[in-house]
Amino acid sequence: PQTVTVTETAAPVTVTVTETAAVETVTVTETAAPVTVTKTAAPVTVTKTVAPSPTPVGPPITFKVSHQWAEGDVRDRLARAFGDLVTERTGGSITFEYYPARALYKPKEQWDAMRTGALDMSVFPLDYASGKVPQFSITLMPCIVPTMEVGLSWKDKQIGYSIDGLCLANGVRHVIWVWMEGGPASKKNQIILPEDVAGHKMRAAGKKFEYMLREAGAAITSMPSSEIYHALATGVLDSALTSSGSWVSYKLYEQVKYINVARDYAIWFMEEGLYMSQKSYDRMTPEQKRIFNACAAEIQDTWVLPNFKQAVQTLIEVFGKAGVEMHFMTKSEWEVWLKFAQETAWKSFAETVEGGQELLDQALAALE
Amino acid sequence: MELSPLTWGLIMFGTALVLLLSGMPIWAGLAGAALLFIFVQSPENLGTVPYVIYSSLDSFALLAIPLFIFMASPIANSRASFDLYEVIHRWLHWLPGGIGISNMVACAIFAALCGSSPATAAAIGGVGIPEMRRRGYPPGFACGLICVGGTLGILIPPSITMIIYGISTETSIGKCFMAGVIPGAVVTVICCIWIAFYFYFFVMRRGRRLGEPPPPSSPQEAAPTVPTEEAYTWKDRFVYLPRVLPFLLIIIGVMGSLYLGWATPSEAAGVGAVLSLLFCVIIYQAYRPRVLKTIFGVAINESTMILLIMASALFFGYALSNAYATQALAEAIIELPLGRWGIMAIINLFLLILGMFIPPAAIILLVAPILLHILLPLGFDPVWFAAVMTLNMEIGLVTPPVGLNLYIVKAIAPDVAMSRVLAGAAPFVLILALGIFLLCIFPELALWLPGMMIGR
Amino acid sequence: MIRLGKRILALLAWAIDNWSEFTGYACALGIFAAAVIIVHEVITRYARIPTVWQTELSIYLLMMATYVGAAYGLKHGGHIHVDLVTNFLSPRAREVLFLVTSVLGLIIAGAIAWYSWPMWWEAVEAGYHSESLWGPPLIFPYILLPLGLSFLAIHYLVHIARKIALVRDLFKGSGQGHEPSL
Ligand code: NA
Ligand code: NA
Repeated sequence: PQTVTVTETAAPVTVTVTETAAVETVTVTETAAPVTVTKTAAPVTVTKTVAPSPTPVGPPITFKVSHQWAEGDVRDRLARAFGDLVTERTGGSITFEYYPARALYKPKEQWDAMRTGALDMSVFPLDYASGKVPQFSITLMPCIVPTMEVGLSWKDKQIGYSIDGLCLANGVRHVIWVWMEGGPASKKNQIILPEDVAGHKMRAAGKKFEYMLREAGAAITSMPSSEIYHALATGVLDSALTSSGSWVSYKLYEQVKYINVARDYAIWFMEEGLYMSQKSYDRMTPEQKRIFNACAAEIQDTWVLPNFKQAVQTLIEVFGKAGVEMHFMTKSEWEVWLKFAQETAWKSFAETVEGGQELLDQALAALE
Repeated sequence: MELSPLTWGLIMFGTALVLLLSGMPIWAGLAGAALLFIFVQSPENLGTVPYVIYSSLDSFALLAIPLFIFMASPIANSRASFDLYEVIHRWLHWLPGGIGISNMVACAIFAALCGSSPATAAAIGGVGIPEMRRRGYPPGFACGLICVGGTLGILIPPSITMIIYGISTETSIGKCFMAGVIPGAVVTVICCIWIAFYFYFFVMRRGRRLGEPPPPSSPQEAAPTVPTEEAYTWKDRFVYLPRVLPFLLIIIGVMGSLYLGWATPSEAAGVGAVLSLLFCVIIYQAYRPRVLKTIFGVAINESTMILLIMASALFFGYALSNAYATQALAEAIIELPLGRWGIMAIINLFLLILGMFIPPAAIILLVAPILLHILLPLGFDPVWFAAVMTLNMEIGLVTPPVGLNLYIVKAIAPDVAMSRVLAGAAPFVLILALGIFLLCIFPELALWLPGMMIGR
Repeated sequence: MIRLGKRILALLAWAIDNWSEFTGYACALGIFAAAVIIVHEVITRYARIPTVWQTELSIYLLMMATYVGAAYGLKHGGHIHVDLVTNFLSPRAREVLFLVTSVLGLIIAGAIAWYSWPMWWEAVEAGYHSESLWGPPLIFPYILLPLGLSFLAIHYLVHIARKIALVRDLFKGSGQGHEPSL
């Protein structure tokens, strides 16, 4: 049985902070089988606002922030909004260098770089690390999250503690939760229910989606999102599943006739939040940490939802203009997918991943 | 001592250049410089070095590179390339400078089978340069023609550099391929016109007027005779014609699977590699162990070289980014008060200078993402720029001191002085530059075909 | 005694040479296998038969060709270099410079191998898998980089031994500069 404990002494606290030592204590306990993943902590309560500091707080630190998206993408803006806020509130002692568009690390490498402390922060799709921590597949599981609100609520629920605990056990901190939605589109027919993909040559984003769609009778081809356009144009693909952002940025509305828009309910949600190397975090003084966490909470509560909801609105506008036939998934359709996902992807996750069933139960509990 | 990122960048480029000029393998020069600077600037990052190098090749799109090399190798290393050349020659020899034009057209067709420029120059030059010299072409002209004709290898699809460009800038490789077709044809035609012109005015007329061959270019060279062009009957032409059939089938197999929707670029390369080896084994009896060993040996040698350079160039790019030098450089260029086309001109000049020293694959990996970062806000199309950059890289393949095609041609004709080769190549290089200019005036040359084939 | 030592060294060089040759052809076959695998995938997809492992396996074969094939490349002069400066040097100076750059090459290949073995060992200890649907253990692809660069470093030893013999030959005054057999 292996126990990983990350402890941190509480900061000398000022007025509004209610930060207890327990909040930062994470215990990952591995019993014989199945593994239980728990974070023994009361819900985190952090200061919501800290006033800007006129003088630098603590020694100067520069953090490198890496991600794979273009400058100006909502995920790039998230990193910069957070960075600017921290710089302002620390009186300029903490500054950030941004490396968008995989300028520093390729997407998957970012995890190893954060683990080893070579990279300070990253806007990182957590599922990319699922080869190393198989439990992370839950953050890119079909129908695990129906809406962005449910996804963001994970932060303060057991499922969120479990995931954050696994991150910490690998030396990585989860700073801000972010979910990105997506849906299927096609040249052949509207994809409303699982049986609609039968016989489609299809690109899915994420292995559990590949698995589920394969079970539904689709022939899966893997390719980076930059090749989807050409593949749809030539007929290598009939349909594809990708994020709302990619549907727009790769101009895929020029190629598809039907899209199932993930406005109200979505089968595809991916967690791609802001993460930080524990080693980098520990370079900050307690006071800097306090401000840093307060800024994270502020961005989490005020910035994430309105800005990330924008992607689907843009999609509706652009695809509407291009004359693509749109369908908006309903709750009852989503439930059909949920049932199908549970029989396929969820089942395989529970069977192959240690503690998988427990995580699924926690995720289901978060639905209520 | 605190150095600015831009200063660091210059120091790093300088160090890499010194290492490269020392004659060490290119991959080792780039990887060595990267290791050195990571060690100096942030030794705590040394642990991520293997991850950076490992994942630099973790890409299905990249697989197209060795596969396209494996597609060209059986053709280049069996009698196939000789047959290709012979057929074209029988059909085009009657033109003024017919044999030169045959070489240029053979380069263009081989380019459609091969993704790399040095390989194209080697395959056609190996047959063509001795032939041209035997028939009295000035050796410098013959070598220069093959140097530049070979560069078509990366403009006409398939193209290794376009694949690298597509990967590093997230542009569709299929579209980039299409963008090269018309510029490739235009450059080929202009080159052929120049050959006919040169032959008519400088070789034939002078030969007739003086009644003697042009002056020998160097003491070692045998005095050339007045160029002769033998005649072929229609029967000669048609008898040989079926021999191009395999090549056409391979080209159709690759391009067809790519544009008819059976395969992605990497998959099309796989189809090509299998077809090519199959044809060469069946038709050219390339199943003998000795021939197979050559085909596989040459292909793996070239693949491992290009891919190692790719991995180390990406690693060097990582070290540059880690010092924030790349970003600082891009910001410095954006702030230049030059306007849209001014910046485009500066970028081309910059690429030309880089092209003198660094092979295309490494340049694209190092600068294409930064350049697009500058060009996209200015409204330039990334697919169009793929064609512009490729033409620029083609020039780099022929400019000293580092020009892969120059090395290839020197290996085929070691007795011809480099200065003669360069003089012969110069007019063709101007044609490539003219190509860039034409692309700037008529962007449709690059954009019409991609838009046509895959628009709605 | 010295003769025995020399014979053992020659045998070692012979073994390394042949090993590099063998790995080169193995890698070439690997790439050809990737081509066949891909054609298989294209056909099965056209028949709408789902596929899982083809793409990923062919990427690993690509990595094998690059890293493990590097020693073959060194043996056959595939590691292209810039000869702008070196061409202007006297044969002696040039060979000495090549000796120095070969030692640097050994150090660089060795350093990369040195830093990448732990990456592989971590994957062994932690039981890492690829994050794809197929999900093979990462110990197989992760070993290609350290293994290939180690082979390359070993081949550099033979390469350097030959360069030393060549330089010694040049400075002895015979001046022929032919590659001596080792
Ligand atoms: Na080509
Ligand atoms: Na050059």
